[in-house]
Amino acid sequence: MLRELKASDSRFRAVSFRPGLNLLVADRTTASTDDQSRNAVGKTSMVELLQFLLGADKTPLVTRRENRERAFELVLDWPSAPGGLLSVRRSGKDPAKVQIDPDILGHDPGALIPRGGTVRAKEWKSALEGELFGIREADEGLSGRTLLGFYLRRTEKNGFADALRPNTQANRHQATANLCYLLGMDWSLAQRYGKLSEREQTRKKLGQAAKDPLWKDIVGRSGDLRGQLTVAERRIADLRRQITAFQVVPEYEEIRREAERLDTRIRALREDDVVDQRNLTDTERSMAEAREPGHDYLEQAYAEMGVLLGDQVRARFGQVEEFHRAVVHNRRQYLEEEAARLREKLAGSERERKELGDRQAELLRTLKEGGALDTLTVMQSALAKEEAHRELLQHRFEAARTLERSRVEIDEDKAALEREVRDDIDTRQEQARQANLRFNEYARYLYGDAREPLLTFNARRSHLEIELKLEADDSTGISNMKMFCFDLTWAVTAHRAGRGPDFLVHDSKIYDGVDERQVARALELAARVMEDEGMQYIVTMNSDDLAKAQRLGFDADQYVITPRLDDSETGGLFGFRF
Amino acid sequence: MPTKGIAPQRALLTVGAQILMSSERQSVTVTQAWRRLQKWRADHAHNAPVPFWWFVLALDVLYALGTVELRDDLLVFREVSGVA
Repeated sequence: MLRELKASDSRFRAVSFRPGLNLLVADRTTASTDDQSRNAVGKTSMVELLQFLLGADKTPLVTRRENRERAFELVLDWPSAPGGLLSVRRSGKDPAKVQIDPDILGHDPGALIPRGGTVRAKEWKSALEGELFGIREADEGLSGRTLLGFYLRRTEKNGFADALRPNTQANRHQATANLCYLLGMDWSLAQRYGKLSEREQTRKKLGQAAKDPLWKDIVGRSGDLRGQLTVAERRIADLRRQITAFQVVPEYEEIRREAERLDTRIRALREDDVVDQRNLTDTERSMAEAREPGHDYLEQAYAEMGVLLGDQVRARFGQVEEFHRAVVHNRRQYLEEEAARLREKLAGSERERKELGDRQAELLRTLKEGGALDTLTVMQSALAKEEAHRELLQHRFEAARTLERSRVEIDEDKAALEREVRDDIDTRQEQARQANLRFNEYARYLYGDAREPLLTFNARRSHLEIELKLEADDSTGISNMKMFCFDLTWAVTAHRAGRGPDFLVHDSKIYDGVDERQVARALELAARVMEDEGMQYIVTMNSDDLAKAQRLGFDADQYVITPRLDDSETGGLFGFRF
Repeated sequence: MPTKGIAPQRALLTVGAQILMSSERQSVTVTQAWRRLQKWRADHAHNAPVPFWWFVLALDVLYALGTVELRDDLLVFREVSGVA
């Protein structure tokens, strides 16, 4: 039960609430002109302030210059608090802090005398969820804010556009889940529709992304990725094989230099050999020449010398002949030694060249089969990179496959959920029946039997449907009254079951376009139901609409609460105009 | 001796003189003497071929004249009185 709405500003016209029907009436004064419409008196603002104090986010109403410094206060029943009442204060200047008195959140458990404390708005919200609705932390999907959105429908948020949602921005599945909670149906099933729907949305977006030229590289299709994976795996296998066969040559550079030195030496030897070979050929030819017989000539020459030179010839022929032989022999011996030396040198050179060649071949083989440590490191880092790439592809491949499979999975899940929900509705026939009966009773009270009012729960493929029917419900007035009956239905159901608070607040907007007869009937119904159920229904109303209901026999006076608002300078809720 | 068939540059006496000049009267081995002669002849444009045995004959002539002798495998040249 809500008790009082106040503000730290003395001009503010504090509102007191009481059990049962509460009519907050706004008068039109005679001085009213068209632009001083009663919309400025604060009917809607009252609901906004209640919402703010019950944990809603700050709105322009409380943060505007005139109200910023002002603290608003709500006194409400809080059975678990000492004294059973709780005062909540919050201001637009510091909306993250909420002052509560007494501090029921127990920040100071040692205090003998209960006193006020400041808590964070978030703590306050969860305290409200627990106290008003009995929601536990683990009840994911149930939200005190959504539920309060139904209990205090906000004109500013289009709260009267759809009976099944607290405002037009609200997620339908979440709203349905919360309504199911109030009506005693399995809310977690309705919540699961929401999860499925989210998954489906994500899947659709990712599916589109996979086709988008920009995004497809990030998401990818499993077919493409499988191909890329195969390529990557082959590259990895190649690299692995190379690394296994690779031998590290510790002094790679040194060996390479030695091979070069050997090469130079071998070339030098070949050049020397060419020279030596030519010398040998010369020598051998000389040896052949040295064997040229000159004996006959010698005798003849000696004879000629005797004739020409006479006594100048000192040696006898025998001596000359001996000299001749010695020279020739000497020459031949020399040449033979020379030839032998050259042959030996050539043979040695050939041996050396062969040894050098073998060594060089060995070095080159080492270099070819192995390599420097650097090379191995490079290969290993290439392998690591390739393996990381494969890992990434593997992840993307799995993600893409999951995505491609998820459509089927979601469809299956939907079908399964639909079955489950149908079964659940069957098992909870009693709850469904009672909700339907209550709705039917309220609607019949307003319109009689003709309209065949109906509230049903239906399992659908992608949502749990709560269907409200009131024949010929196309007019604003009738659809508003349908909402009124529905709100009354879940509020009573939840309160009886201890799942919801004992108050319900409606803006006068819900009576827009409603025939005066039905306005009177609705107020009568509300007054009666509230009394029967021990609940509180707070509704704002324009005095002329009320007058119409009064003319039809509705005794309003006993329900009108103070203050009576009007559109004069100080007659509004805030006590001044802005 | 230079004759109609023997060019003056090939005559044994000429060749002997060339040996003396090319060796510069140093003691040389037979091979050295032979090489020096060939080089001297090439340097002085005496292109007529002189085979080795002709060189030995020229040496023989010098020996007969007492101008050269073979001592420990070296050709040793010496002055001979009466020969200009």
